[in-house]
Amino acid sequence: MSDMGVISANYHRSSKLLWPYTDALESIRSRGGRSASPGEVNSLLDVLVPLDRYFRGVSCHTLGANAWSMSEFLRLRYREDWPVIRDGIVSVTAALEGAGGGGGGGGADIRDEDMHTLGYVEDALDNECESLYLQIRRR
Amino acid sequence: MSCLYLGWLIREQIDRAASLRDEIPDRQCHVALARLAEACKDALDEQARQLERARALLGDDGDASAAGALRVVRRCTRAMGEIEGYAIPALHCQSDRSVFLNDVLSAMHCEAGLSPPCPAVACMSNNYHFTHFPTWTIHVPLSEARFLLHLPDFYHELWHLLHESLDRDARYGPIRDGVANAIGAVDRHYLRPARGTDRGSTPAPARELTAWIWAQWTYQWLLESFCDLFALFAAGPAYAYSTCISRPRRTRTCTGSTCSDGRTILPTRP
Repeated sequence: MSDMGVISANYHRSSKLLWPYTDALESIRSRGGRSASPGEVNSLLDVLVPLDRYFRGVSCHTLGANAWSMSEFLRLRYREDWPVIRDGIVSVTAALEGAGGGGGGGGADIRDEDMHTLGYVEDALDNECESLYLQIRRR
Repeated sequence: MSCLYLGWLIREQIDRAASLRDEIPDRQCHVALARLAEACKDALDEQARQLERARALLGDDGDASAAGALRVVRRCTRAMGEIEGYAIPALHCQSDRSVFLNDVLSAMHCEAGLSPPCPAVACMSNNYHFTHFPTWTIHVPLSEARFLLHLPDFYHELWHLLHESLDRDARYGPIRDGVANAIGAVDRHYLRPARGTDRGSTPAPARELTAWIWAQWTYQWLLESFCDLFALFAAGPAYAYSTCISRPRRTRTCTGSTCSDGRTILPTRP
């Protein structure tokens, strides 16, 4: 496979995660941003878990969106707030996992600051897709 | 004003979906290409539905809905761009060559008994073989049907498609476990030093470089290794020769951290 195929595979994987993540976040926002259903929690965790494991330096044994690239996007865009955002991602992931995500089947309460953090991750994933898409189009 | 403009932008993208649908040829010369044409129509209809929904939401609560609508436009535009750039041209490039290669790939797919649907082959790549996942097509150069010794490379591409379906078929449990173990091994090797969780005194530039190398392995080369192993088991030495000899690629020579782009090193022996 050429480099083009590698980029296409990463783009496909990231896009497949972005749609359910965005839909889950939109759905939570439309209800006032206070709680997430079990399905929404799982869609959010599919994106959050690899990022969380990357920050904590442990393996999650699955391929998600590129955690390094998303982390770099957030670090460069929000230089001063970056440590707060990183801690927020770790904290919201723990909260969602604790609430029964990852197959446990429970919903979760979402705090206002969690919604901001989830929005930052949405931006990072959308940027990841856009950047891979532009790489594909340039060739 | 910006919402008004965004509304018209969405209208334009909806029209784009309709016009792309009209570009899909009515007749296909192979069942795999017919499947591709149907998948494109379904995908374009879905993009149009998503855009209509975004347009309907626009204006309900000002900036908040505009931000959501803009995101929908971006992702729908990307999805349509994939179809416009890779699927519809493939349908316009049908020939005896693509029929032959689609037949060969169908036979390989059937023989291997793979559960994901068989992809279509398009003879329009300027980048050797590559799989375009969003449209489930394998792109090969125009004259590829004449080079039988390159065909083992299809097995490499088939594994990529198989990897996308590992979670959906219980038969693939051992493969899924093998991939997870390999990801774990790469993570164990790079992640802790990359994040500085075991070496607090590692200089930041070294941590950043290690993190970058970790990402290259995890998201680029790990699956490629599995693809090569699969193809090697399927086609034996023919795949090794096809990879090493039939597609020599330019490699970069590195001195320290800088690469000189212009130098080419080709394989000189089997």
